[in-house]
Amino acid sequence: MKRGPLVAFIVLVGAAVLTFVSFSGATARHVTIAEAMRLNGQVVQVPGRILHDTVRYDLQGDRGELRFDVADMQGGSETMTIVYSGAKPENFANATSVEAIGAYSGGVFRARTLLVKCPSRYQGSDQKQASTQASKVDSDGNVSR
Amino acid sequence: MEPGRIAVIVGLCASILTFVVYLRLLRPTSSKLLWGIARSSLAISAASSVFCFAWLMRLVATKQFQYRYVFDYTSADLHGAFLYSATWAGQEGSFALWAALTGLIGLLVAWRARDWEPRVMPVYMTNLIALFAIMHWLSPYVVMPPETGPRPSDLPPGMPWPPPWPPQDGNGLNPSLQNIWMAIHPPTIFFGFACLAVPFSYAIATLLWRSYDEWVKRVSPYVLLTVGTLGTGLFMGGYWAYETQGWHGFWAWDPVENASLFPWLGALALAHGLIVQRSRGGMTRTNLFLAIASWLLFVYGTFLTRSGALANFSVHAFGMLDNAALRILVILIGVQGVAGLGLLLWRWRTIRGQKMSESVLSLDSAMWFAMVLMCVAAAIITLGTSWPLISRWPIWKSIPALSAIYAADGVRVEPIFYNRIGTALVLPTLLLIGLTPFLVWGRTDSEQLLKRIMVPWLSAIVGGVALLAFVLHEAASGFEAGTPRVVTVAVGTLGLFAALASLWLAIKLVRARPVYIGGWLAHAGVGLLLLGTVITNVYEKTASYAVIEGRGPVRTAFGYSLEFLGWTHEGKTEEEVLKDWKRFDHAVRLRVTPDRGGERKGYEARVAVFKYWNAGQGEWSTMTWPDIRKQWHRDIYLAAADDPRLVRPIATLSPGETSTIGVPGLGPTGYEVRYDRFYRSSTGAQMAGEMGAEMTLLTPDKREIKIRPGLAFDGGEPRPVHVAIPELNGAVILEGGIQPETKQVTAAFELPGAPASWVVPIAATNKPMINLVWLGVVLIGAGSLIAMTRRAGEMRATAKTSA
Repeated sequence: MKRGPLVAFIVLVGAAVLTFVSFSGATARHVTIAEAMRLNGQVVQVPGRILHDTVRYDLQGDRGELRFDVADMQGGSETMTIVYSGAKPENFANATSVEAIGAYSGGVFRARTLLVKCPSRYQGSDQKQASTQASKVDSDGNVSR
Repeated sequence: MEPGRIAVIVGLCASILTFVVYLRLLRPTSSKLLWGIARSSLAISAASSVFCFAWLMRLVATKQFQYRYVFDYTSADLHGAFLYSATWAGQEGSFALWAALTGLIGLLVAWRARDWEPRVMPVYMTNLIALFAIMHWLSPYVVMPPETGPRPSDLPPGMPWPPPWPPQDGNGLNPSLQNIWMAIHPPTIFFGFACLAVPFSYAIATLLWRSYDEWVKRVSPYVLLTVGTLGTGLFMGGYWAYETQGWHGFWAWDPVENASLFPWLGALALAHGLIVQRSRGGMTRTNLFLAIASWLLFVYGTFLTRSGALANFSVHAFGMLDNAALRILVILIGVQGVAGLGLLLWRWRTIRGQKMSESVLSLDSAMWFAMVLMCVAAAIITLGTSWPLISRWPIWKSIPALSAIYAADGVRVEPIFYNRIGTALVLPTLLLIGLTPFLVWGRTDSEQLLKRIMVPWLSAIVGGVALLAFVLHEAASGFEAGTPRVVTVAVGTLGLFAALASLWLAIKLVRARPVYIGGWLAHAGVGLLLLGTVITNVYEKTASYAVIEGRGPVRTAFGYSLEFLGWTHEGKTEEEVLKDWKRFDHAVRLRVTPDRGGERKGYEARVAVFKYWNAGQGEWSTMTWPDIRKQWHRDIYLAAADDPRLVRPIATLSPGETSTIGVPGLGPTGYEVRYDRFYRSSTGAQMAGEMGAEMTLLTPDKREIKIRPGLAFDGGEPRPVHVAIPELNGAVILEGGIQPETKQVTAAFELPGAPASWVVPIAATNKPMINLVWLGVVLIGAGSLIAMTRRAGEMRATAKTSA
């Protein structure tokens, strides 16, 4: 009795189904601010330049809330308010831009993860690729660098 | 010429020579000379790799700041162990570390391989050749020419420019790397990976010489060494993140972490497959595939994390490899991948193994199923980590059904994906681990099984009920867990079952054959690790509190209160205070008092908050380190949620009003202020001038002092002016501008008897049962190493009998 191919088939199908099921809603499309606002309620990843004048950290509520505006990275005119609940990311004060992952709803972008990007020493120098240093906080309050 | 660069070239040449001569030795020869050449060139190449690393370490430790690498990663004030660990802080240094360990393990492999020496060593040497080549093109031994030496942004403001030559100080090691776990994590990981090259080399030799069973005994110790060190190393990295980053967790499914995880899973599956092949003669093809695949996965992971391909999708600092070095890495994957997988396919039909038992209730089936789980996990994690690259392939656009996959900038897979996969795979894994101690090869008597399994199973059920009670208690106290309760209880119960069943067997074995308990200890560790992970991750709670100087204790939700005590360094001149802020031990002192037990059980927490010069950004950055208090059932984890700030007494009022001056939340200071009228004056030019509030300050002893705080404007943004109050040796400044309609202002004061107060935003986290996680990790590491000792002993025993 040749069971090998049948078993391999079952394993492959099982793994594929598992991957497919887990995949739904687990990816975040990279979009601009304007698109993020249009895709109301959909989870997306938005890069944005931090407008440091607008940064507020509020201790009201259980976990603290960070609120700030971002501007379009490509120089578009849109700005958007990002709201993130949790501790302020460690490098935030020095960061120039963020990658926010979350969804736009009720006039603000509720981020569940912030990837904080800091300018690198190589920027503007003759090195072709700029390295980025980032810290991240996700909505469970995890911060890493 | 620079000694390091010479050593790299010597090492590269010696490695190539070793490779060639070993190939020549494959033809039967009795030439002592050739053997002598092979072994001496191997020794030279290993010695060069060690020298390259040691030389770099010497440069770092003696602070030769004219070297770019030393300048970038050390500073004059670096001391102790970190002076040495800075050697592998950067990309170049980590390659040097990897090469040195590969060189050393190469000696061990050659010595232990005996008659297989010329078969295995050429394959193994390809890694060393590639590493030397990378170090040649990505040299850590670059001396900065004075004219392109430090850039102005490398130095903090106030330092003389241009700096003296050679430089007297460097950029310094990132403070987050100045942690003992971060110092030992890279050597541990790279040791594991260097060992992983051995099964790969043996697999290729096995395929070429078609001796499909002999390699099993020889590679088992190396595979177990990889599993133990790599597994422990992964968690050292996690513990570092937990301890220094104010990062409350230890695993984030970040590409850098995953890149070490998937090869580890491959090696773990191989370790199990080798047991099957040794005991039952099966899994021959699978093992050869796993040995090749896990090594390739590691090289692929290195490529992913070092190429910068994932820089937009990760939180880690990504070094960009120099293009030449990157190309070498790609060539290495290509050559080894084509050779390994091609050989396997070519030999596929000639490989014959014993048939495995088809009884479901047998160790054979359990092993098979366990390996399927590990391989599926490795494959899915690899897929998820590569997704930002895969989703960029243009081919998706041309297939209508799959066009949604395509994204020009790539798409990241969120942690929730891995968490779902993890949950689905963890349940059967734990059940298997729990059953394994009671299964035998071939066929297990089901009645016997039921009888023996009863005690651990019932104990686990009791534990599961206790866990359920905890879960319900948490839910009743209003805590909404994101994970379904049934998953939490199921994973917890099965984790306990796995741990108890494995420990039961380990205890039975420990007196008779202590060296046999390794695998069971590791299994118990996996059970505890997952039990701890589910409790700690689901029931972790964080709450933020503003701890204010002079306001008394703040009660937290976790059964203790926090009170501001002061700073570790204080009460000195302003200059010294500034200096203190740059010390890593500069911290906020907090008094933590439990609600029950009172003062006696309280302690002083020190939440480090300090500034460091971030040369990458040309700025001073604030760094915070958490204070972690370990209790048996939880960690009390206190971190600064935001920069501490000095809050001055303020008054907010409109013209005509009188208001008390006070610190928000602290009450009045005894001073009052009256807002007499708004003023605006221009000086010469039309757009320049000052506007503000004419006010009268009323002191507690009833004196009246006129003050005029205001904003200066000269066309741009108005700037608040710091106005001294000489009568009281105080000052006043407007905060937040002037309301255009009402002319309302907020004035902040510095007054005698009414000092400013520190406000420290603290994020307090309750981590229940996190110690189970660390205990599990220790058991996994220790168990793997015990198992390794056993297999190494068996390898020696076989060598003796065959000699």
